[in-house]
Amino acid sequence: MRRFLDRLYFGSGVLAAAALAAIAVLVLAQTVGRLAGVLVPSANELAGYCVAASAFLGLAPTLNHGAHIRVRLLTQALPESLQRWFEGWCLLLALGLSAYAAWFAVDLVLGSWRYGDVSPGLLAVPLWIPQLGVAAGLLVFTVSLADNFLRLVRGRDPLYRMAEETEAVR
Amino acid sequence: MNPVEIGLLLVVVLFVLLGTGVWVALSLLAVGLFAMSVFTSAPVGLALGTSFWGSIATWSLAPLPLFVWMGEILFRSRLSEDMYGGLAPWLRRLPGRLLHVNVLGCGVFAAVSGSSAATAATIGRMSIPELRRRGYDEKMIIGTLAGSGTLGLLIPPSIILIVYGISAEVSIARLFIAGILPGLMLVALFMCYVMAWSLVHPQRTPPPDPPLPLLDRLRASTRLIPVLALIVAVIGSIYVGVATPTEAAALGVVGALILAAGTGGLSGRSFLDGLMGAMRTSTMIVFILACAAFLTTAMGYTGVPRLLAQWIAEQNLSPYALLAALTLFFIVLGCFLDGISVVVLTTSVILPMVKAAGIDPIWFGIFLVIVVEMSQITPPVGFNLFVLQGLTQRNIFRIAVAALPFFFLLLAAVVLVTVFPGLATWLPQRVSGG
Repeated sequence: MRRFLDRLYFGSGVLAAAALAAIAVLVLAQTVGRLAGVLVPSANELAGYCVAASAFLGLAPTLNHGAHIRVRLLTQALPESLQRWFEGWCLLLALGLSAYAAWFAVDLVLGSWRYGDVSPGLLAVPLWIPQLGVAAGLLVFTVSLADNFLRLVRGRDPLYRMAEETEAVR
Repeated sequence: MNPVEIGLLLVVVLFVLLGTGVWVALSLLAVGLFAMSVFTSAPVGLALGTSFWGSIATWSLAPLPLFVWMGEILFRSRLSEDMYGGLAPWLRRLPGRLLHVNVLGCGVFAAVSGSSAATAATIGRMSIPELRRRGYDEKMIIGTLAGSGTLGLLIPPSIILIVYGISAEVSIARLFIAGILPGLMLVALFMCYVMAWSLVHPQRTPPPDPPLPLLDRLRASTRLIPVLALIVAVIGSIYVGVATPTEAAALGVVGALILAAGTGGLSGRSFLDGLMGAMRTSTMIVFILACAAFLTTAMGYTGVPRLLAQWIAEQNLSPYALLAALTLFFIVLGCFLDGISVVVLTTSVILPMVKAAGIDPIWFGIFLVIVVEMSQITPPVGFNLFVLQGLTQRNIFRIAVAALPFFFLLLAAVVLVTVFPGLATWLPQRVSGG
């Protein structure tokens, strides 16, 4: 199970990074194409979809690297045992919010699929394809929050704990 | 409940969430959900899905991840050494000598980087050990670096100006150009302060290194050519209007890769590290933007910002009084929150009020960013302070004290930009390309 989860987060992160690189490639292709007089169809829309895919697929790996910012000033001053209660509250609330958002992201995908919505540009991309990146990212994020919450309940540290500690020292 | 009470309640909820350690993005999302489901009858989930998708899947956001990536590549390159080696030989005669390397180095690096922490870290990595070894005053080394690092936010490209531009729906190209003159003014202010300080305390500046012959100095400066070329390519192309900020950012990524490869700082490993690091930073920021976009929608349904704007308009405050109050409010907020959160909260709630007072949104963006720069060096939460803590191993409050003069210089810059708004608005008006 552990190996599967770690691979899931890693895979999600690799896809997010690939989407980021794809933004650069698309924009460059369009710029070079404009100079050479070749039209790269729908590059603007596609780059926008890559921004969304990159940001949402990156959610879980970013969480586990402790890179989502938060205010730890007050909770840090508490004794260790109390800190764990606050951590549990943060994770549980985050889990609820993420699950809620994931639900409606899936709803958005299903809606676009059912009504056959397509992108406005030259290439009529069915909208459910890029929206799938958002939904999948939020689902993996929800899984990683549940994973971290269960770790905490079982008395272990959340995955991002180490990264946050070294961040504070670095 | 009247809107003022609703507004206050939401502020309390937000601060409880943030204070208990809930991630910033999710706190914004939670407040938005709370506001919308308790005080309106609009379909919450539907609004959530569409505002996430509508605000994020857009071409205008593309420069953000790209500029973050460019910064990550340059941070891993040998630019830090080249900047020090290229700048230092010219600054030995100025009062304050090599302390100016920190100010100018940050100023130049800010023109290829969009972040304040990265600017301070890149320049400081090389200059702190060099200046310490020569016996420069530690307080001034730290202060100049902390202060000038914040230039990364104002001098284009700037991540935070992109965040402001997206959420306030203002042209990013114009914002970038508006940041140039105030940024140069800050460099000048910082350098003047360093000179004045060293004239007052001549015994605390170590003796100069023997002067280099002009030819050697010129040879040393050739190390600056790649970074200057990159600045011209990125900012120049936006300024002349041949490239949109997105295109300039893609160009910047390629330029940074070439620069890193050319100076021997690029391996497969550092390329992948840079890309993954950029993905995480940009995810963090874009997710905050997504949640802030939903908060803006939710606040719009509750009508609180509109009523707040009305209320302010009825007070007949002068714009100066309003700005003074806002400055104070942002400084306090900035002590506890990072710059991006301050900006998105501002655009969600306060911007309608600012527009109602007849303040130009481009000018307000520059004003806001300078105030946010101050928040980078105020304890307990100041990102530049954290960076310098890492680089120097000194206590964070000692670093904050060293940075204090620069806090006041930034405050002076806020006053100057308010009294002479042309500093921010004149240059963008010269540019045709929007």
